[in-house]
Amino acid sequence: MTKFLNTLLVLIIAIAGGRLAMRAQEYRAFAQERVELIEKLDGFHVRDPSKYLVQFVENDDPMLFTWRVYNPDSFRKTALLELGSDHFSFVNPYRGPYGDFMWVSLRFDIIGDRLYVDTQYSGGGRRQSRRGKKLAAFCERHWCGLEIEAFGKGEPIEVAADQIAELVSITIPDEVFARLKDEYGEELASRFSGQRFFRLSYGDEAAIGQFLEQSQDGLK
Amino acid sequence: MNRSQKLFAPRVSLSTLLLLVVALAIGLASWQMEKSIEKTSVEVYPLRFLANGLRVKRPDEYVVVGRTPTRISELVYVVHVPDDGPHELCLAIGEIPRKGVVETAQRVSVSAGVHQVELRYEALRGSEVLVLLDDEPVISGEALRSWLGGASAGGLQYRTSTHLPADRPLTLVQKRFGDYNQDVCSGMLLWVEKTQSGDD
Repeated sequence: MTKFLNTLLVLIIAIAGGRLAMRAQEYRAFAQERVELIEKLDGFHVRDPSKYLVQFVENDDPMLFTWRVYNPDSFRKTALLELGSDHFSFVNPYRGPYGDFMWVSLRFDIIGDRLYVDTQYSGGGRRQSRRGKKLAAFCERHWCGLEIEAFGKGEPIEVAADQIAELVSITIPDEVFARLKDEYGEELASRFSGQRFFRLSYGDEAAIGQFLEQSQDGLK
Repeated sequence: MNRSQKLFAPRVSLSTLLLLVVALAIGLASWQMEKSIEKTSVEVYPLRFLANGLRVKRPDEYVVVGRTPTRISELVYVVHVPDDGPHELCLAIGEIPRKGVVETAQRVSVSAGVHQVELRYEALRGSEVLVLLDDEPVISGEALRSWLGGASAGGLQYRTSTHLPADRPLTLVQKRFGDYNQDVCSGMLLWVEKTQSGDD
């Protein structure tokens, strides 16, 4: 009886041990890949799942802005776009194939004689806005003269879920603003009070809503 | 302890006990290992998606990954083409079936190895469809007026590196416009396939 039991136990140990060794190899490969991917993604790695994580992805196109984003659970992903005095926000209800991980991209395009502002989430959801000839011409001539600040350059930045991140802020410097007035008229220039050309803010729907209320109160 | 108690007492040898302890330890280690693999894989899969990397495990198959577009209205893929004979990159514009490819298409040969294939259409606002192979324009076509302003289906596929058999066409883009729930509807199809020998 003891001999049979021992034989059975040795068999179980051999099979389970072999499987464990194989799984350990798989785990090591996964762990190694994880380290390599984090390195490749310039340190993009969720440390605190209750916060959202944003990292700007460098590219050589001055009119394209892309971020890697991790969103915490139950986060209502919302973007607020402000182009001069116009603003609109949109919520992205899609979770996408990788749940809380996604790309956010913003692109300014001059096609024909129009300016297009495209915002897109990788998991689904996109908003496109078209602007007139004068603005397109201004962008074509003076884009390089604008002051552009993008959020999350270099290391990824953790943001508390109730805070908003100003993903990109574009302002018109004095000398370019003077040219905007001269070349395209006071009417167009008047749409960019405070010389802010564009701002893209990102956060939870409630935080964006609160931010919008405060901005509107400030204008009253 | 009397004689009858001795008879029914479990007799476990030291070796059996030792083996039991080892088996339990392996069981516990396996359980912990599974938990660790699960935790790591939950982290690795989205990172793979964000990294957009092509991982060629079986070079005799097509391997493809969709790249997050640098321009919003483009579809960009990195494709590994196996070294098993000539392959072609094909674009068809017109009546597109829900499944499979079509006979009539513009074709350009594509060598074995890793290539970037890009389709631009919307950026040009409905006037032209352009296919770029490794950043060089190789096929162009005319977009149809009926596409403008309507509904469409078919976007970026293969969010992570995907292996597919090389004996079947590798569909990269199947963009269908208008009433896209029909079996055949207007659109465009971009795919890679092994060149037909012509002897058949």
